[in-house]
Amino acid sequence: MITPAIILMRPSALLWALAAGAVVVFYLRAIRPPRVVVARPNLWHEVLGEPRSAAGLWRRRRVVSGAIHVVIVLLIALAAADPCVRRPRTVVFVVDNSRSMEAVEEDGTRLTKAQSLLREYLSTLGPREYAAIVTTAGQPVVVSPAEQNLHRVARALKRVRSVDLPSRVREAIDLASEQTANGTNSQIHVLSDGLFEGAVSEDLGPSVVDHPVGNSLANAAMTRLAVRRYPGEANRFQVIVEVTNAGDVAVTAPLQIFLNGEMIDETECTVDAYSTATVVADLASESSGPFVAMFHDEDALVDDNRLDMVLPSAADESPPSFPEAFSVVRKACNTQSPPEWIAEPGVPQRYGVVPLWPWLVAVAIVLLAFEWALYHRRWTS
Amino acid sequence: MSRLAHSDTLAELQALALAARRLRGGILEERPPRLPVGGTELSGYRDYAPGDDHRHVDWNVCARHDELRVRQFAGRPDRHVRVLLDCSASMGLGSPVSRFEAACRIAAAVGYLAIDREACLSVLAFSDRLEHRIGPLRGRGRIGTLLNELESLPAAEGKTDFHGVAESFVRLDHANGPVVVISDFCEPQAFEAGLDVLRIAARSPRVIHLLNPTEDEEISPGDIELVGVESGETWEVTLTEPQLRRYRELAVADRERPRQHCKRTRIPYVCTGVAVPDIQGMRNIIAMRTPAP
Repeated sequence: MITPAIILMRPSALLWALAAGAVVVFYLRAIRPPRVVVARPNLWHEVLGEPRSAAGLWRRRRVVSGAIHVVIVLLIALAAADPCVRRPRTVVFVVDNSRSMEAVEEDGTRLTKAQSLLREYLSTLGPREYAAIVTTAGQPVVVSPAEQNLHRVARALKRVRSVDLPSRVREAIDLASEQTANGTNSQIHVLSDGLFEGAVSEDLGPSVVDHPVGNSLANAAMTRLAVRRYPGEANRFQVIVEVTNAGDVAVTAPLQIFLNGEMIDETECTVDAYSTATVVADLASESSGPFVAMFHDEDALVDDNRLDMVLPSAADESPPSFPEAFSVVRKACNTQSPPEWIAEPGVPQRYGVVPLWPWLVAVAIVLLAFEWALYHRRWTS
Repeated sequence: MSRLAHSDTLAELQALALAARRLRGGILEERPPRLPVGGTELSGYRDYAPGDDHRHVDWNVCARHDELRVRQFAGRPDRHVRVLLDCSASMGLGSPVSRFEAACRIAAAVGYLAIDREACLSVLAFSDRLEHRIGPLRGRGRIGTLLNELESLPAAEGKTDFHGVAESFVRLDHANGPVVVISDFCEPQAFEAGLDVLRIAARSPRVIHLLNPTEDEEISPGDIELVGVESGETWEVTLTEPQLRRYRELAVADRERPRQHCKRTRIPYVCTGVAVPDIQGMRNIIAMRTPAP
């Protein structure tokens, strides 16, 4: 664990401090008290005593006074560097950009919600904190490496788009932990709807904070589309559609079958909560071409309500026939966030900066008053 | 800058000489001698009286008459005027003109008056010893020499020891006549002793005191480095107001000491500022009138 340290928010001010300190030192060396040639040294003997007896005290006083002035200048310059007591962090945001994040919820898609939440987090970071963004879909990608320019990180966030690939959060977290800047604490924030493998069972790690962006909306989708022709009847075929409802409410929606862009069948399909319904339809057509099944659930994911295939023609030499089927299967049907991931997003952790500059300025003022009162005023009046 | 601008100086000096002729008394005025003193032509003998110059004793006549007889001379006696000009380092102070420059102008005026009165003039610059001697100069034709020599006097430097200088002067110069001392009297005790030496040796000293009442005005409380102009010793001090007040009280008393001493010993005294005196200031000086402050 990295202990709290004093961090200079504007370290470049120290360069100015060095320059200012050098100028002050040269100034103090350059300025000499006014030199007055006197014609009556015997009188000054009476007033001041021997020359050497006064010189030692005078030099000590000037050295102390000059040192106080140098310290005052250095304190003010250090205050300008804005030192703060804090623990620096590298905050890596792991953004789930799988297709499930395109699920439309109350305030837009889950991805939009994640982006807005991430922007809110960015606004809580201090100017010396690092931020990075890693996406999860398919191969984890570092969208924005760890850097302090939060505007650039925010711009990189706008480029995140959903990808129709499975989410690899675990690998993304491994990649995120490699983004930690030197000398900083690593914090990994996962913004996901929880629809990734192992979201429930696996512990993401001690420094990983998950921020759910999904909710409990019912999500049903077709998970299997199969077509098989009857043997001996070239123009008849059977369509089998499996609709899976992973939500906690039953779903009833029309199931439509299109062939060559023309709807050839429509059935009302009801799927209970946490169950799968199979719809079987016998249809007849000699033509072949694009074959589409659409399940019109308003809450379903945009692209999960549709399965496509190309229906082979009846004259095909090897048409799938009973019991075989020409089918399309979609396994990734778990469109509802698991219960652990259905929660309000966490409150962004505020960055606790303890600025030291007021203390430095106060000490400088006290030193100035001390120098004036104890030296200047006392010695000249 | 030229210490003495000849054309202007000469015009001023001529005007000053005219004014001095109408003046009774003044800086070069001498009391009549107690005993008759001679000129250059032998006119007779008389009995020796205390105070006569031993060189005027005619030893042959003394041997014949078995008594001391001195020669008497006819014609005007030689008059000697010596100007002792302080050229110590303290005379280098003063702005815009230094005390030394003002002293040279005054010495030029006094010298011109002396030459105008057909006296034999010597100007001796001194610090802790007799440094330079100008003259003796006699006759108006030597006015230019006087001014040139004054012009070429080296800048003021060195310490002051007027007591030792006065003793040397008395030992080396036996001529009678007024001795004009021009100085800033920065060490009044030594000057008092020196003036006493001149007075006791009957050298008729006259004092022109160059005063600078504002010489300490630039000193203010605070950090300051005081440097003795002649001793070179240095005080690096933070001067307080009471210390400065105390010094100013002492300085006022110190500046007043020469006047008091001269008054006590009846030495003619005049003081003037360090600025180059104007014609009226010069008149005051040659009249030995200290202007009202």
